[in-house]
Amino acid sequence: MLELSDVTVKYGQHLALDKVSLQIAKGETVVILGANGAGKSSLLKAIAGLVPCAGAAQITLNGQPLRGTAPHLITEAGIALVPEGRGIFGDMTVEENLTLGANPIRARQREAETLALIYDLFPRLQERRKQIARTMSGGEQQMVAIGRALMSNPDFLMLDEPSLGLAPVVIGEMFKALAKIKTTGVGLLMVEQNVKASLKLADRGYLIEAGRMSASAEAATLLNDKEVQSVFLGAVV
Amino acid sequence: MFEHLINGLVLGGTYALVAMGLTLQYGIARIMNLSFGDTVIAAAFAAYVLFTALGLSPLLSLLIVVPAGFAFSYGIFSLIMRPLVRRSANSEALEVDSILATFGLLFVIQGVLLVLFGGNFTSYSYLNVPVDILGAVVALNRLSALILAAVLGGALVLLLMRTRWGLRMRAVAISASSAPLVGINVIQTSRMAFAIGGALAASGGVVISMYQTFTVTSGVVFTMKALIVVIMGGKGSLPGALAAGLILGLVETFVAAYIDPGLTLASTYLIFLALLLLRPSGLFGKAS
Repeated sequence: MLELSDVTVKYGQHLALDKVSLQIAKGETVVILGANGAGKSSLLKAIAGLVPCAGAAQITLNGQPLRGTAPHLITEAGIALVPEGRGIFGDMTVEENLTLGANPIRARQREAETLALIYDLFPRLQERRKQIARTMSGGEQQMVAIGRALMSNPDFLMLDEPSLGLAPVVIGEMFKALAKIKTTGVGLLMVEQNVKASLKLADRGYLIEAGRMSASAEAATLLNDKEVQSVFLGAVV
Repeated sequence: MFEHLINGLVLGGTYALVAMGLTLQYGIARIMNLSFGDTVIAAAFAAYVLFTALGLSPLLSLLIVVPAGFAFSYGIFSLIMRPLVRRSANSEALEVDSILATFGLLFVIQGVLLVLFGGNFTSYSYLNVPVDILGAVVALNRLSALILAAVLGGALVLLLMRTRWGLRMRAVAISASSAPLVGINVIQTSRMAFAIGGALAASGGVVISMYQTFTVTSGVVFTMKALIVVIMGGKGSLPGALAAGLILGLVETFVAAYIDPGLTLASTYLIFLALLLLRPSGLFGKAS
């Protein structure tokens, strides 16, 4: 169980997140919706230890406090992040990126099995394993980023706008892959602009507005919610 | 002709060895170390003292001087660089800070050496016996220097390209911001790269002391040449440093032999300028 309570993030005077609380169990898929600049990325970064929390914020993983832990130790603890813009090692091959993904000690024992799983999930990566990552298409690079994160054998996989900048057909493939990843029992916490597809995949959803958590509900409820439809899906109410 | 080729390779091998150290410090730890050449010269003096006072062969003194260079650089990183790394907002800010800090360090090391050894030209005679290689006569100390540079440089390249440890080092060089996402401790990795860079500087110093005359103030020249080799080879590229170092050594030797010894430094800059104009990202660098 990953639990956040009263997570506040400030960039100088700017309040990016204001006392946000959230929880996600292992095996659960949770999507965070919100407009640009609402603080969705900051939330994932705060969990990953990439930005410091302020105030009385608490982040715990299976009861163990995570706040203030160095980012590389958070990966080691079992939380992997696919950052916005992917953050892959562009000058390395696909294979080297995946091997690096298994760098955390927790990942080493099952490295071969995990790699087989990822090649099964994304056969393209196996075909292209010797290719330099930055020469690949956006969709393929996203596969590398997701594969690399999965290589760390995480309990929770966080994805920051995985469909950003991808062609619709590629987005469809990616959501299919995410659905398969969901069945492996890993917890998925994702920030997505693609509201419909991500709510279909998710068990629950949270809405963030201007740094505050404004609603949380079952994904199916949100999908049929009039307000969500008008704000995110462009439906005329 | 063949003799010049070997001498050029000796000089180039030494440059490559020293430059590989600098490229590790700059490419991975992102610290532009202006006191790098002074570490080289300090090691050369250490080898000189060990040889003249204790009769220790430079090949054996490597076992003392190289770990000392590692420990010294490890300490420098922990004491001076780490606070800079922590407070720097980005790698540009770190580059400026580190240039200023190591510029100061340069004078500290140089000052200490000056007090200890004075400003005279120093050298010692070790394995100064001629060897015949396919008709060319080369001093054995030069030949040993070349072999040492090749072995040390080769071992480092293998470590970086073939091990998980090396993969982590390269990951930090490519993207320090993504490295923590795969569980890499960037500070620890940078410190290790900086310390190994210092160990290479020390080994370079010992190699240089075997066949060259040096003074307390020669450090600047080595920093400059290492910097040129690093930029020529492409920042952070070990194969690039190797190739560029050899080119520089060969050109300097041939210019000294066939044109005029006074023009070696000028020729160095000429190639440097030409490369900067034609291939700004270096021989092995990627266009950005």
